[in-house]
Amino acid sequence: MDELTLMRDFRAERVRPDPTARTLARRALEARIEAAPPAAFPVDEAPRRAPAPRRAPRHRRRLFAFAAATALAALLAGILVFGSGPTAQPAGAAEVLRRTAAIAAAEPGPGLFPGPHQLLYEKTAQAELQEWVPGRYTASYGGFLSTDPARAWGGRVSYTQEAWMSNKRRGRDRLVLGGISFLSAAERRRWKAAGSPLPGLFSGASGHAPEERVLEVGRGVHDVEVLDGPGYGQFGKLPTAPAALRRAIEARRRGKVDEGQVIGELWEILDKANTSPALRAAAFNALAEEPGIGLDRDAKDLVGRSGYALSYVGRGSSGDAPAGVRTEYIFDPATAAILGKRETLVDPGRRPWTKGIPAGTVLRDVAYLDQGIVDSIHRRPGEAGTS
Amino acid sequence: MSANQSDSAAIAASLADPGAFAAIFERHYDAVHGYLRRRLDAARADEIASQTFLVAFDRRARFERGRADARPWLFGIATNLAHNHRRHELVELRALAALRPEAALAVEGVEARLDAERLRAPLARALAELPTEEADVLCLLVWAELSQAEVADALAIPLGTVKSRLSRARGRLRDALGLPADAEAVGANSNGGDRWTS
Repeated sequence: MDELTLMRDFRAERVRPDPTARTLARRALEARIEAAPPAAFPVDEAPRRAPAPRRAPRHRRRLFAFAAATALAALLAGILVFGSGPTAQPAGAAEVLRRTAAIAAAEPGPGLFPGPHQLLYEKTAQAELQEWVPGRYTASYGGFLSTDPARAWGGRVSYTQEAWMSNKRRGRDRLVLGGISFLSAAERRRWKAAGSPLPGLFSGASGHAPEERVLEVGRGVHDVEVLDGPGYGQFGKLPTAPAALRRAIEARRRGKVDEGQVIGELWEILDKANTSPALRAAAFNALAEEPGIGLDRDAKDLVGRSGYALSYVGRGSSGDAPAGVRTEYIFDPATAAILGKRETLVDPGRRPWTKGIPAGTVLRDVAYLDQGIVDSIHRRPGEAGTS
Repeated sequence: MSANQSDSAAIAASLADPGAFAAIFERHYDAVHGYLRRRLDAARADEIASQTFLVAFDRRARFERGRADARPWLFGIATNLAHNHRRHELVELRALAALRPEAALAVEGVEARLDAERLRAPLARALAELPTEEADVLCLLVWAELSQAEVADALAIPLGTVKSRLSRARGRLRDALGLPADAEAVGANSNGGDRWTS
């Protein structure tokens, strides 16, 4: 018996028709089909993709496939984003970023680097458009599409999150619900009539994943010790020259990446505490080289702090920069501090997850409130016993 | 809609007549659901199988019409959607890996079945420890019954990459299960056109 035979037999008993699931899936597809108008062109004139001499990497192929369909949308989105008000100033973004890079480079100290037995602490305020089915799922936008909309709820969920992270996979997540707002008054009434069911993490249900240990779980509070979670990432080996940093990101992504992905990765470096001033400066300088970035000099983050916002409207289908979504990266140009990140739907298009969500809806809004190094999951920065 | 119509023709027809896409669902839902069910718990498999066809419908204009068979495309979508749930897949595999095999009596003629029972937990552990990209190749090959060329198509990677990932994945499984290298003689697509058989 070889390993493939063993694998063929593994869980074979699970594979059997499930009429209920099939019926629900079929209904969901029929609903989608009914909502779709036929193409405006005869089938024989449907655009064909030119044969490529060589298969491009997945993300490039997606980009090409999207190019024609999204060109007009991107143009319109660009007009919406960059031409809609006196504060939108695309020109000068590169110059501002280079100045901010110089400020970042001059920061004192090496940055926050936890010792082997320490944890990185981060506190954020978040507001996110979520969809949840009580007792089953909670998902961020685009996460899933309910096959039974009557039992699903969608709204903007505000909460604070504290995360303790170590690179030993141990840590803690504490989330406290702030409030829920809905896209319409009718949706709120429907939700209240159903008993105000909360999204899964905040429902107070005692069920939890085996890789977590409950510290406090109640209605509106989800506080667990994470026994097998992600680390905080290591950035010490990344180059501190902007061009080399971009190449390192491309290498990590195994191929050429679009600017939306690069901007997202550079921001991930900037929003981490355990990065050096030199690396942060390189990230700001690398951002200055990326095309398509707008600048708003009068931005406010989720908690009302003022700063500048870089903005980018996604063109691809990837999760980094989905088409029709504008991401704003908010920072303080005077101190190079990172303040927040906001994703807004500017062009709903015809993607499944945008159904019922109007243009201009904020999909996710994060404000970075506090960072530090602590000695245990029961400490916060500034408390006795912390570094 | 002709029952003999190819997937490609059905998808092309659905551009003008969206209802034509239902044929794709009827042909392939069970296979996609079965593949996902092997990887995930029932609720997630149900949800992602449904989502796979919604996403496929929305992207049907981008289906490469030179491909007659939609299965690699559908399994590719399903695999990508399942990535969001990889953590749960691993948790389930690890839980299975932690189970002790039932005490087995050696009865004439059932050694192979007992072997399979004995190796079930180590196999779950080995699958949990495979890198995601190698697990994808293996699962698509064995559970979705795609050929190596179709796996390459589904994952949008070169055929050579499929072969190297498959080779590495099989080696890891053999090591974990304590099987000799010559166990590879059975099955394993040796070229791009063959399906795995055993």
